[in-house]
Amino acid sequence: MATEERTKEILKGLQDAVINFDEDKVRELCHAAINEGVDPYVATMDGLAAGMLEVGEMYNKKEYFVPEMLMCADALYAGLDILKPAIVASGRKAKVSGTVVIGVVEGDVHDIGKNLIKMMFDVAGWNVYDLGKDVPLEKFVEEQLKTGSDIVAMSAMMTTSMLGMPKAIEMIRAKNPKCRIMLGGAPINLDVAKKYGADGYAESAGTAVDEAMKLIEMLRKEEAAAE
Amino acid sequence: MSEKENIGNRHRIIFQPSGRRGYVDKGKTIKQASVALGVDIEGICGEQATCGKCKVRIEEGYFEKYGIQSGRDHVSPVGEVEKKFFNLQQERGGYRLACQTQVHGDIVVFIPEESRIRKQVVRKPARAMDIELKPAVKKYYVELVKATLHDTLGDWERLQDELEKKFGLSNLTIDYQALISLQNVVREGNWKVTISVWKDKEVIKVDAGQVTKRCYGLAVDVGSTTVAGYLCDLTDGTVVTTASMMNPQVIYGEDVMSRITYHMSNKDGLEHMNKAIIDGLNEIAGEAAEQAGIKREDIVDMVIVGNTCMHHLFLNIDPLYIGMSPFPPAIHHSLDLKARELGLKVPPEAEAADKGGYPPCQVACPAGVNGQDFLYLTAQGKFSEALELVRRAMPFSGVCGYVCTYPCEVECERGQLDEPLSICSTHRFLAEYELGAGRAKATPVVKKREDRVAIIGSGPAGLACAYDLIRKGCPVTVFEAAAKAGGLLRYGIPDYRLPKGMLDNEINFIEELGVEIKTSSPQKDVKSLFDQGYKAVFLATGAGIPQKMSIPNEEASGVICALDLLRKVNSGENVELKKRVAVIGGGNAAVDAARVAKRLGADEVVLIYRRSRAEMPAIMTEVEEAEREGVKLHLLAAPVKILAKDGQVIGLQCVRTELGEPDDSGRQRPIPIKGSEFNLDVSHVIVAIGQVVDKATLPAGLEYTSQGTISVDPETLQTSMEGIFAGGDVALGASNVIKSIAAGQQAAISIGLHLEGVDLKRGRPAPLKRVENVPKTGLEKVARRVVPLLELEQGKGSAGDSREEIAAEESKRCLNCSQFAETAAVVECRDLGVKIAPGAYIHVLPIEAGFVGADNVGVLLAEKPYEQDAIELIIDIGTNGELILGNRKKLISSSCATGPAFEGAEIRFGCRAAPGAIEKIEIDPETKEVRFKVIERHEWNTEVDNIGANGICGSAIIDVVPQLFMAGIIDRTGRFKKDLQHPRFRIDEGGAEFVIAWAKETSIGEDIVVCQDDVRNIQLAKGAMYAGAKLMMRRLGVDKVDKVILAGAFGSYIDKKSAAVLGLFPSCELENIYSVGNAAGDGARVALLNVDKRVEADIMARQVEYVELTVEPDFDKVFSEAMWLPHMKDKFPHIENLLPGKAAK
Repeated sequence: MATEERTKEILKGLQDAVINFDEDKVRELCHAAINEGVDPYVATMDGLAAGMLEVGEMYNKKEYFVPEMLMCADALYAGLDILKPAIVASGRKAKVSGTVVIGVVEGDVHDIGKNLIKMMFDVAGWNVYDLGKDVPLEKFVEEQLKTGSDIVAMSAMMTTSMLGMPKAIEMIRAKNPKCRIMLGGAPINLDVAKKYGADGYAESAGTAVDEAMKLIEMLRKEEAAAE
Repeated sequence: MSEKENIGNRHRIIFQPSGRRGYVDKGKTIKQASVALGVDIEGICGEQATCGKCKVRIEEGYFEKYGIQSGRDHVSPVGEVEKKFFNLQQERGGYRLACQTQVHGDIVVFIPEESRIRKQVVRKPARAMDIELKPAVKKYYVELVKATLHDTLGDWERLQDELEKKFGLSNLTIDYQALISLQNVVREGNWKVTISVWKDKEVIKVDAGQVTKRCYGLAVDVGSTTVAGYLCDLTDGTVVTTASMMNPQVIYGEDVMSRITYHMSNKDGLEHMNKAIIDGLNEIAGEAAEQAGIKREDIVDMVIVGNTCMHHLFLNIDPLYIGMSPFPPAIHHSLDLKARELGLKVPPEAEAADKGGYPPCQVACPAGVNGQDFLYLTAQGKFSEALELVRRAMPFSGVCGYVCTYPCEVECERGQLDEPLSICSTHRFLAEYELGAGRAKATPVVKKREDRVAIIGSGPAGLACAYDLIRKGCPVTVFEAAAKAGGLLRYGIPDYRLPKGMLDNEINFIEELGVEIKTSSPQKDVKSLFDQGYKAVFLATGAGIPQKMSIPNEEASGVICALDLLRKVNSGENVELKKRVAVIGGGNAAVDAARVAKRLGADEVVLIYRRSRAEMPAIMTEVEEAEREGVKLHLLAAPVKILAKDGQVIGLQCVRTELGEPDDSGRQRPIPIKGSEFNLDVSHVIVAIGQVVDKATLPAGLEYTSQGTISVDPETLQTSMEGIFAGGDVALGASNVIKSIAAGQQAAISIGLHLEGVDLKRGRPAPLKRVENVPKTGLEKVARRVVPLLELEQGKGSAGDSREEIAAEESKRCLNCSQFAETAAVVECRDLGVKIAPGAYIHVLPIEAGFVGADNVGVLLAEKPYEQDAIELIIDIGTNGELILGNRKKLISSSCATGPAFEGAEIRFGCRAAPGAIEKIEIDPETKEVRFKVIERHEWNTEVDNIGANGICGSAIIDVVPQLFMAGIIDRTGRFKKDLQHPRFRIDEGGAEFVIAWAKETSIGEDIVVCQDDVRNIQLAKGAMYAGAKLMMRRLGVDKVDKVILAGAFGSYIDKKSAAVLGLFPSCELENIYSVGNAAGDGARVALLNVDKRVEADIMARQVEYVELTVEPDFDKVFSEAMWLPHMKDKFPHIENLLPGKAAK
């Protein structure tokens, strides 16, 4: 078993390696964590994921941009590849923060932003159902019903394709009025999201998860009040 | 974003076309708002409503991009004072005086050109070009014999006679409007008139007197942001004047996407935008005519280019579908429309296929080879390019050149004039030419898909299928039972008819692309293929068992099946055939076997066929050759019994036949004539009456037809088993090579759709429509020339023209049928309303793809990369960046969503090119002080006071990031260096920013800065461009470009060093980077001045292969790496000295 000090050192090292998009370092420290008996779940959440949340913060502060964030993501996934099997082997059930169905609406094939947000949900411990790009509107409805997700997150990068969003929102609401819907993408802003009848708006990859958490908390409160 | 909402009594106001926006207190006038926001509106009366110069228009509708609803009820009502400045049309159109109109709600305000103080500088000057003059409209001067009571011939017929007599112009028609004017003009000119004739076909204008010198055309480039018109003198090709303006559609959205969105969210959106651009074109035509001192009616021809969206909006075609993936345009083909009328409205439900019509050769070819296009190139001596074109359709140019039944030639329109083109011998020649010259190894296709496909059988169907699949990036394995690939092509056709070297070359080509061919690998167990991970199977095993005659003694020694014989001979086995041989059958196998038998030394060969010569399925020239070689034909006879002794053939008994009623095949049924039996003395009987499918070699569970072939859907080739397709002889029954190739192509389409999980029928391309009414009048008859076989020529020695000359000469006979294609269905006609000569046409150049439009075709015509050896990268920089890459061998194009950053939008102080705009920026690396220049001032800011900058335009936007980078103010990731200490650098709540112009150097009263978001937006735009170029280079298989050409609205103002350091494109020697300015407009001029170039444009547009970049598997990675300065990983040996040292990061 690693000492408390050594554990801290490894976790800090993992955070920094993700932030500095140093894949090799991430791998080295993940192996070290496993060999030295650091809980792989802790290494994932307090090491890798914590680093990625910091990256999201840097993105918000405009210090990091898309290329850096994608490289951090590569480093993160390199670590997860090592730690995930160890978590499964330990039999530990991860705490699920929430469930989200995510995709780029039909007519649109630009998915870099969606992929970044998907990753942020991943690191925040969400169950993510990724429908990919150019997703037919009814597919969002089907998948939401199938998975019973708390959130549906839709992205559009073109003003033409974003016009499908209000339709999709209407269709989802008709089937499941409780589901929370959030929108994101270059042509979307808070006004548009409101006008389309969405519950939330993700301004960037860094804020999407917080926004989703808020929506869920509101949902839970309403449910509690209703009971 | 919440501050965007109305706060109490404030409203949002957006000025167009500048795009400047902000908030205004309720009750303020539009003029007051404009002053506050730094927007200049004319006005000399001090807002007293007496000069009427501040006319603006209030827009109506919902503007998705800004999220605001604008309306005329959002301003104060029109007062009586105002009204007198407007005519009824303007009043109804929402025109107001800015100084009198109070804001009561959110509005979008359009400031018309006349009300703007500073006119936009449209930086699209015409370039000097050498264009051969061959305009569509020519003028002819004629003197008519005056009508008298004795000669009352109609004016038009009188004119027709005279034009025919004097100029040989026959079969002319006359435009309706020209006809209406005819009588008066003739008399006004005292029976002396000048006639404008379009393409020697139609009289479009009649002028009194001799005015042949007054002949003008207008070439217009309709850009998303600017419209530029070049008025040209059609008699000498000079540019008389240039007129330009902002595209008036800008108010509906800055980029094409937001315009399409405007159409989608406003009922009359398309109509508004169509009207705006037609008005704009009229303004351009009027302005150009005025400057040149001519009447607008003297403009007798017009050519228009524009991106696909501009093209559709101008033609009033629904742009909805080009705004959504997969972005198909309504029509690719060029159009000739009457300027005044038209009103083409393609119904939105119309499928996204060409409606233009295809040449008959292509429609007739089962494999869809476009004869016209490859003949066009052959005629110019571009043989390898022509072969490339044949290969675009199918891989067997040479094989088909030898053995095809050439259905294309039967349909050739030229056949109605003299003789059809020798299409078949020409593509055989192209393949032979390549064999002779040597072929570079083909570049393997990047396998983009994971689903593997198994093809069983390597005959023409199997290989054609493999060829199409590998080109889609799909991994393919072909299993062949025999020792070598080729199927019947190798084992069923004798060498003299198809040289093996030719076949080998074409199969090698397919293998080099990445198709795996496993020979000596019979596959019976299809299920195990699925177990091995193959996702689809194509059965193309052919028909392997000879059909029996079912007559006595068929088993006797000396009876041999034709295909067995051919296979043995082709495999090099020894076969002895002596004495007299009878061949039964009338197909190609029979004729081949007969000729082979003759070659093997048979004394006499008799071919017995039960119908007459006309019904023989064999190629007739082959039959004639056989007869020439001594094969005897015994027609209208059928075998009855083989005469055998000791199990050995000694003769054949036949019966004479006559032809009766037609059977199922449509041919007359042969009926034996009783008592007409006769015996032939033969030692061998070769049976060639067809083959049947060997079911034993095929997977169990398949369904079969009554003919014993695999039962398939005739369109999709789907068998009764999921994921298994069948084609070629195994499904068609005995067929021919070209039909088998076509079956392979159809199977490839089906398999592609199957792997994507798309409906097999719905996803198929529509059948090609043949062009109608190809005119042949006035054409001279020219004899057809067949390119001789290579060996024949060598044998005879070359008398007369070389094979190259014959091929080129023959190809020149091609009529280029598709240039006469009908345009799309005209559903609703109304006045297009472009006001030039009332009878004039407008020619609209063709479109390559959804985002590579007619403007790009203009660039092609102007730059002619298809004539270059050097690999050129042409970058058309605009709101939508378009790229062309390649050379004479192959060209590919693509578009990348650069966004409007380079045009000044989405940049905090970005603006369009107008006086006062900063157009050039330099930052001293040591002092970090800034030098800049503004448009229409010669001095730098450091040399004069009051330079009056008001924004940063395109060319300086491209300067600024590399300048910041080279001065060490930002690092290579694009991030401002936080620790920088400099008065120009500051960090506030909005993030880091760097001052370019201090407030005192501007006319807007505040510092002009570049902020972190600006840098990011430029990185996105340049990254998209670079990634596009890089992926295209990979697709083309080149690792370096020889030449970079920067085109576009401000292309000629771009500093190429800046562009290189920014990393707008992959490394290239600085001296090989050229700025050419508005190449699209230049191309429009080329097409205006030379009609041949219009034909060339159509052909070249079809040849450029469009690549969709965003679906490349690693697009994200390539794109993100390209956002760094100049790139995350790539090396830039040519500009290394310009880049900051390693300390940058």
